[in-house]
Formats: sequence, structure tokens, C-alpha cells
Amino acid sequence: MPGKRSLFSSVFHPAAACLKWATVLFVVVLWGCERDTAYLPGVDCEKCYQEKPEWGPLEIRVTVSEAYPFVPVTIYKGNIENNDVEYQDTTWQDPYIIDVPVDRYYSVTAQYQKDGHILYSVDGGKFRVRKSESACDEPCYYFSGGFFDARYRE
Amino acid sequence: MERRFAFPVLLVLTVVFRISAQNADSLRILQDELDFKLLLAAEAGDSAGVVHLTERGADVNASSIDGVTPVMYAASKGYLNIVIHLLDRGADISAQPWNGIGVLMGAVMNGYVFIADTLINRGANVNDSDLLGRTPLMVACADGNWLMADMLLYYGADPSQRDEAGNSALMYASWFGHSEIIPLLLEHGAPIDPQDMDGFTPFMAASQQGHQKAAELLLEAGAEMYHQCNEGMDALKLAINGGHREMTVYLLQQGYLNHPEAGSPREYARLALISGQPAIARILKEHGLPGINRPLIGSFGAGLITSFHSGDFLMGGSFGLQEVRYGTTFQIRYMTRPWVRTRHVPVNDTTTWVVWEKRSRTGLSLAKKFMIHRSYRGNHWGVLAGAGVEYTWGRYRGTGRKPAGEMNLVPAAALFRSWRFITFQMGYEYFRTDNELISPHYLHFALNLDIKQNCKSHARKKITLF
Repeated sequence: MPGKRSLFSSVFHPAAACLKWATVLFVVVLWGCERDTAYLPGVDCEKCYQEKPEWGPLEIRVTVSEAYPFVPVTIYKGNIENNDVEYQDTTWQDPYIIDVPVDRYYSVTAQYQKDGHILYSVDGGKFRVRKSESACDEPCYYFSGGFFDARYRE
Repeated sequence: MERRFAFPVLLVLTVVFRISAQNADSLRILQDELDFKLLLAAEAGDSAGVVHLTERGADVNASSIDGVTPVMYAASKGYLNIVIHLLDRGADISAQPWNGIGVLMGAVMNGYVFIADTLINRGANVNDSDLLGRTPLMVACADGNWLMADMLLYYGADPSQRDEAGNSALMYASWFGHSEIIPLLLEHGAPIDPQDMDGFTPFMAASQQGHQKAAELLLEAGAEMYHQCNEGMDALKLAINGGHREMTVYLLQQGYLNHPEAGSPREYARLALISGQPAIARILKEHGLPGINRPLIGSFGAGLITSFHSGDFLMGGSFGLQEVRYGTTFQIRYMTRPWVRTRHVPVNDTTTWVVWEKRSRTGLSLAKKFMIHRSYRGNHWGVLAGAGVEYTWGRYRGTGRKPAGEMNLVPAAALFRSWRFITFQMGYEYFRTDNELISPHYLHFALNLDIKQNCKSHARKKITLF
């Protein structure tokens, strides 16, 4: 009859341990991802362009609520310190989507005001067009990046 | 023959041929069925069934797909009357299945002395060997079956025979620690120091396995105390490596180190530490061997590490050394946050930027291991405590500003578990940055692969039975 196993040995047995801790890590990894991301790695063949596009949709998550019904959004070329404004608008929709030239680094700010204090939610990243020769039946140009999270965060 | 008879004769011949062919097929199927039933009856010990089937014409030498005959089944299951009946009916006593475990070996393996005796008297070869060269005597010695070994030796079993790996019956008895069989083998002329293919002797095998009584008997009978295997291990090293304290003391008391070929005392003291046997290192010191005071590297390691809590997740890799004299580990490590976390950056009294922060950290850590359980196979577990000095830096998305780089003291404590060359660690780590939104209390996991500094010092004699 097999001996009774201690809690320690059952937690640390190689195969069981790998499975258990892999599950824990998987949960934690998902937990650790605070910033919203709109895409998974890889190419969506249904969103392919046969010709390389010059412009593409920039998608910006903002917090539209009773407290913030209108959110001023500013899109900068490069970092926000450069003050090189590509576009400025006020939105009441989430996400806010606007077409901009591709293959550039953009920064965005969404402005929120609370108790006389101004919070600028900042995000930035490169908005690229990539080309895949093999993922789809035909050569495919697709957008990479171009998703920013500028929601209100305490 | 007249031509008018030709057609009827041809027709009759064709019909006769077809009928006889059908009968032959039917007879063959019937015979196969009888043979199969005989195998089942012999295996199940159904004496009446066996008698009935053999009388009906079942083939006593029919075999299963792997060559096992009814008499082999009966012998290995201990059905003496069936064995006798089958042998009387002409069963082949020398038949062997694909693995070479014949009738006699089957009976010996399962400890049926009377059946083995009957088989030998009926002509079974007492020195027959299986596919790996193992004889019935070796198997009896491995099982510690004194009566069986005595009987086999009485009938002329050769105690000097070797299997494919060069193991003799004495090697089996010594490795498994069946000391009562050792004098029996020696009385029948078993060579006392036969070396196997790897250079191990029975005395070395007994030392490695910690069978002191067997080692004592061998030594009293004149076994050579000092031998080296092909990888340079000797009896004392094997005893130390195996964590056998009494065996180590016994060898030292026998003047092992006075042997001209024995290694230097420091070599044994060093091995005790590298093998993770500090208790034996203490015993060696008590017996006058020099202590080792300088740090001793036991293994190198590389691994994956991760630190996280509900608000953060960092992962990376480490490279380290395992020091065995003081039980310390030294690591260089790097970790990064694969995603981003919120950070508030005050710009002035009325304005704050809420940015996404990326962060990395690198540094050195030093920890001491406290073993709670230790085994010679390298399966340890215990507690680890220490601290690291780490530099951390980062950047924000969308802005050229960066968080200030910081040097941090990172205390940590963990439980660890080692399986030979894999170590798993789970514990607590304190890592504070200037981002007050993130808690400094982390859960820390690490998985390390260790490469032993000297693999030859872990050479062992292995024997596997069936």
C-alpha cells in the first residue's frame, strides 16, 4: 500500500509541481496585465491590405462616464514633451478612433479633472505597418501597435 | 485411361482435395484453440484442465507470442504437479522465450525451490542464462534466497559466471546486502574480487550501498579493500557519496587511508562536501582528516525566476554558483516587467501625468541554504534565506521622462526542493521602488538547472533486476 504523502511532498512533486505552478503563473500573468491590449500576436488574414496603406486607424481607450462625459484627447508625434501635435479633439466615445499616418511613434493624452486637479493619462507607442508573406494565402500588410490605453486611473 | 473417365475422375479428385483442405483448416483452428487453452490452464494452475487438454492432443510445447510455453507459466507460478505432468508429456525443458527467462529461471525468480530442484533433476541446465546473461544463481543471490542458492550450487551452478555487465553472483549478493549468502558463494569457490565492466568489485558495491555486514564478510575473506572503478571512485568515496556514515567510519577504522593507493585525505573531505554530506564531512574531521575551510563550488546553475503579487509581475533569468562548504548560493540575475503598470508622475501642484511604467532590475544575491531533508540521490529540501543588491530602472510609454534608477537591498526567504539537477524555489521577497502604487511584498518562484562541478564524483554502481 503506498505511504501517505505529506502536503509538502505533494506540492513539490516534480510533475505535480510543474502543473500547479504553471497554472498559478498563468493566472498571475493575466492578472499582471493592467494595460488594455486590443490584439493578440499574429496576423489576422481578414484584415489584410494588398497594397501598403499610408494611413491607419489609431484606437484610443478613454474613460467616458458621468464624471467625465467629454474627454479632451491630444495625439502627438513622438513623445509628448516634443509638443508636436498631430490631432486634438474632444470625445464622448470609447474607444476613440482616428486615422493617422502609419510608421510613426505617437503619444496620446486624455485629460481628466478631479477636485481642481488635472490628470493627464498618457500612453505611447509605435504605429507600424508590417508585411507578412507566409501567414496568409497572399502577401498581407497589417497594422501593428496603434492601440493606446488612456483611461482614467487612480 | 479412357478419355470418357477423365472428367469424372478429375471432378472426384477436386472434391476430395477441397474437403481435405477444409478439414485441415478446421483441424488447425481446433489445435490452436487447444494450445491456447492449455497455456491459460497452465498459467491459472488448472491441473484438471491441463490433463484434459493434453489428453485431447494440446501441444505441450505450444508458446505464446513472446515464446512462453505452458511449463514456463506453471514453473513461474509454482504449480509443481502441472510442471511434472507437462514434462512427462514431453515439454521442452530447455526452451527459452525472447527474454531468455526459461523454465528454471522462472521458478528461481519466484522462489520455488522444489520446482527448481525438480527441473534440474529432469535435465534443466543450472547455468542457463537469460538475455542479459543472468543465471539462476545470480537471481537467487539478488533475492537473498539462501536455500535456492545452496541448492543451485549443490547441483553445480558456476559462481564465477558473469552477466553481460560483468556482474557475478557475489556482486549481486553484495549489492543487495544479502550477507548470509556471501560465505556460501565463497565456500563454493566464487572469486572474491571480480571487477565488472565499470571496474566495480563486490566490496565496492557493498560499500556504496551501505551494507556493512557484507563488506565485513568480504574483507574477512580476503577481499582487496582498495580498488578504483573506471571513473576513479573507490569504496570510501562510494560510501561517502551514498551518505553511509557507519560504513564510512568502518572503512576508516580498517585503515582505509593507510592504503598506498588511497586518495589524499583532502580529496575525501572535499567529496563529502560536494556530495552534500556535511555530516560525513564532520565524521571525517573527527577521524583526523583535514577540514576544508575555504568555499567550495559544488555546482553551477542557470534558471528562470519570477516575482509577483496581485499588482505586479516580473520575470527573468539567473546564473549562479552553489557553494557547498558553507551551503551558500550566489546569483547574478535580471528581471523585467513584460507589461506595464500605472505610475503617477506629478508635474506641478495642479497637474499629474498618469503614465505606464516599464521596469527592469538586475543585481547580485547571496543566500544560505538550511537543509531540512537530504538524500544521497540529490533530493533535498529546506529553507533558504539571504539578500540581494539590485539596481532597478525603467521608462514610461509616451514620454521621454524616466523613473530614477535606484539601488535596492532585496531581502528574501524561500522554501526550496531539489531533485538531482533541478531546484524549485518558492518564497517571499521585499522589493521597493519609488512607485508607491506597487506593493513591495512579492511572491518569488525560481526554477534552476544545476550542473555539478564534478560529474565523475557521482559515478555509482547500478543493478536493475527485471
